[in-house]
Amino acid sequence: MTQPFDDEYGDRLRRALHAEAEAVTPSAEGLERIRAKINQRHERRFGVFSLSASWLRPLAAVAAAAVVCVVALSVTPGLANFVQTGHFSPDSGGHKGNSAATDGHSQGQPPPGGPSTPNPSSSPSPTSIHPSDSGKHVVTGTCPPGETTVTPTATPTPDGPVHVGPSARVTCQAPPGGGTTTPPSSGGTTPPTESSPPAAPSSDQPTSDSAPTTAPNQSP
Amino acid sequence: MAVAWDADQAVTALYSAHYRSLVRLATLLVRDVATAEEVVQDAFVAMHGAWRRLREPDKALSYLRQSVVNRSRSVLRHRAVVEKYAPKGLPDAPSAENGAIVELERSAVVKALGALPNRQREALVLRYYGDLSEAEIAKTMGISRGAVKSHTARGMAALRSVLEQQ
Repeated sequence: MTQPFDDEYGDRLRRALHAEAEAVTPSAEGLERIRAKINQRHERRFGVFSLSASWLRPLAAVAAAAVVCVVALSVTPGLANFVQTGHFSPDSGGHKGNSAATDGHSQGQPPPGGPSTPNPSSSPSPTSIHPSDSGKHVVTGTCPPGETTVTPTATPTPDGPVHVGPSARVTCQAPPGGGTTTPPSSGGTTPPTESSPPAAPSSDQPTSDSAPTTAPNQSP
Repeated sequence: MAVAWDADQAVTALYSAHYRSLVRLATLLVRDVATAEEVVQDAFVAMHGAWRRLREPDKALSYLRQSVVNRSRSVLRHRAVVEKYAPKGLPDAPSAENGAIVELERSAVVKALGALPNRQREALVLRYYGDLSEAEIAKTMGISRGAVKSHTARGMAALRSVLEQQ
């Protein structure tokens, strides 16, 4: 590859380069300068966290545990209920009894949106369903003023007592030719338009002379 | 040598083994000892940061050499821009040592080498001072082996023509 002519100049070049390089003496504190530059770069990259790794790790672990707890509570409503009330509600599986207590219509109070509901099939919460002496189940509940309570249609079974399922609801029906109704506001945040006191609970055995309107989830 | 070093140990070991030669190599490229030391120190810092990737001393030495060449290029590029806009000074006066013939020849060769294009000078320095093979020069310069041959041949031809005129 290398011609003899180049070898001569190559040797001259090699001697000259080595002689030139031999004259170079690096300073003795090169290693210290390198380490100082490494430390500067490390501090510039990580800042104060590079000096505090001893306390940073436990802090990060605690923060991670807190995040996990918050996520678990927000994702699981039953667990959140347990944390808030101290115990699991007995019907926490279906939230049928709890929903009335938590949506602002507890214990038969009328919704704050107004005294009446536009939908005849709207279902105020039954306060209790208990068997009466005659073997019938009595549903107690309240309706807004001006509406009549309609008993739910019970499902007769051929060989047993009348059974009212857990999903039985008290329905309210507006009187014929009744006044205008306003839809209830959701969430109960709207102040009531009328300052009427909540109606007293209706009779235990409300009668209905019109066709009963049952809840959609009630089987005929 | 298969040694399980961490980055700090690698810096210390490679410094004691190769710092001087790397500074000399950089001096031949940038023609300034202080700048050459800066270049080599920065190469060591970069190697420390890349040690997780390198792991092996041979790879680290190759990385250092490559880093020195690249940083020397950057220095020369920056210097060329500075000199382009800087006021022209007087040429350096010859020192007393230049009286000897050897010194004259040496300075003539080094001066002719400094007049070469950067790539040709890099190839000649890596070959005739670093004693690297063509493959190592190609890897260090980041070019092909054919390009190394081309740069070396052209550099030697230019050097010969300059030295024959003197």
